[in-house]
Amino acid sequence: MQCPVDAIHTFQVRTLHSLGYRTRVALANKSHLLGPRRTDYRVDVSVYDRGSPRARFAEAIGHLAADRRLVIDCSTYAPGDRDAVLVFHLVPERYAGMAAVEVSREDLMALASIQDHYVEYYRDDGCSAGVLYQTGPFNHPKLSPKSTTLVQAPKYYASKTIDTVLSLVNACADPAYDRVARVRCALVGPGGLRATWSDEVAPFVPKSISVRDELVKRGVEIGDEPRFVCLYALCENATVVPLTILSNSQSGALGIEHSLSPDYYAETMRGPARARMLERLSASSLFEVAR
Amino acid sequence: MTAIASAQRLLAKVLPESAMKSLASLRARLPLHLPQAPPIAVMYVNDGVTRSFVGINNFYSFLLADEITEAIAELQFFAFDGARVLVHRVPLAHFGAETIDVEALFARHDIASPYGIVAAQITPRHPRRDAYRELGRVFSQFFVFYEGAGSVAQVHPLSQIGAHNAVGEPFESSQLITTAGLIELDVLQYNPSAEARAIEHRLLDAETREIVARAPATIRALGACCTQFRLAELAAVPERLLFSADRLPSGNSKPMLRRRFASGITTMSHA
Repeated sequence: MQCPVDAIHTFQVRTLHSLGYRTRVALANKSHLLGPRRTDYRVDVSVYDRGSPRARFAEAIGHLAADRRLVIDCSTYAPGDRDAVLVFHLVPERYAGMAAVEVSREDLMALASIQDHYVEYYRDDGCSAGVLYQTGPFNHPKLSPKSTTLVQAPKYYASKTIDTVLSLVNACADPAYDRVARVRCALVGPGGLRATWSDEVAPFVPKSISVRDELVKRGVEIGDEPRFVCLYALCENATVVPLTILSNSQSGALGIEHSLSPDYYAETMRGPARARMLERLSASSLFEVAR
Repeated sequence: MTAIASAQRLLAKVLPESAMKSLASLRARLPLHLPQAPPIAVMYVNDGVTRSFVGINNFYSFLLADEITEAIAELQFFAFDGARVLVHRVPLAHFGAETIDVEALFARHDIASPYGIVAAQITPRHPRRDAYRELGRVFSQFFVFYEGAGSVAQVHPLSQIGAHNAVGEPFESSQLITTAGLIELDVLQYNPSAEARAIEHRLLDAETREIVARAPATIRALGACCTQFRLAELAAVPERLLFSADRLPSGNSKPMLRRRFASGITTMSHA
């Protein structure tokens, strides 16, 4: 298939000025494990600090050799104090300077699935927290025509000092991407607790949903002990990157974790089985908004 | 010979071959078994400073929303020497979710165990229902939330416990460990296999990949260990480190890396 070279291998991250942290990434090139697909990369970056349009595109900001890592401080490219979205484009060196190339789906899958990039949020005193994850050619009209997101996350805690934020990034390698993601959310907790709402995630604008705020809005008492809820989320029109961000407001400490997609729970949850699952979930009462 | 086998032999004598084929086809479609992966595992920490909360949900409801499912979660807790210290069962309603406060649970059972493996198996009350067949093999994923002394962290499991675990490959984490402000790196390693495993944890200079510290350990079956690398004890501290192991105890039993900073904060994630 014809594939834009800037969409072959991307890594989407957000910054976290809103929590007092700066952002750096460690891009890892593991293509040396792929035999003939081994490649060095030219790294470009797209910066979106106010959503669309793209605020900045910087070409060739680094060279990432096979079996090496490349550290990039996002402050260099998104220096403001507003949370931004950065899309790193890892362009195989043999394609540098080309707009699009013929790439097999197998090659695309191989390059995407072997990636293991690290985003880390840090403060001047050195305190840092990060997570390893991977992003595919999400929301790309040619490469990812069916874009959906499913989250089941029994890992949200809130107390007077602790909050857990659902961080969502709705981005794409293509700067013309303009789809607003519609996300239905449900919180389920012990004792019959249930809260539902819908949210929108604008393209290239990082979204932070505070679970503590959602609980407080609904009159749930938040005390000294961490209160647990499970977050379920469903987005039927876009692939958003969901991260869980824990924070302690007294110490400023952070904890970051990614989600597990449905195929981590059941081996068949891909393709048509995943589509059936999504249909049933969408029609279920889980996300019905209480009236 | 089982009663079913006896009945089959009897039917084969009295029924025509076409009827037997139909019966065989019917039997092939009967929900006789829910294929479950072995219990899924990660580590808890309960050392008086850090508390652990095990978050579980009824994932069958999520995957099969129109099949009303009640489930039972069975949690097994192992001490760092591999001894199983507790089995705890939690019912889960349709779409239900619960958290288990390990400190409170251990206090109720008079258990003192600072860290070890927690393994979960979540099973529907009626696992032979036909509806579950479309899931194929299922994996009881969960998350652990760690909290204490102003620090917070969270990880998902990476391994399954059991005798099927072969010795893992050499491992190098993709995390790049910046040393500014860092005073200690703890490696919380578990062994989900059924036999003791000898491994060596290493810190490398991220630039040269030269080994700057090493710590061998033997971890008992279903046990765990905590390797502590104090940066003040290193001969030289590079700007960035890599973590590696000469092998993992099993295929994907990556450890958790806990950074301890001069500010007193710790952060943790899997390697």
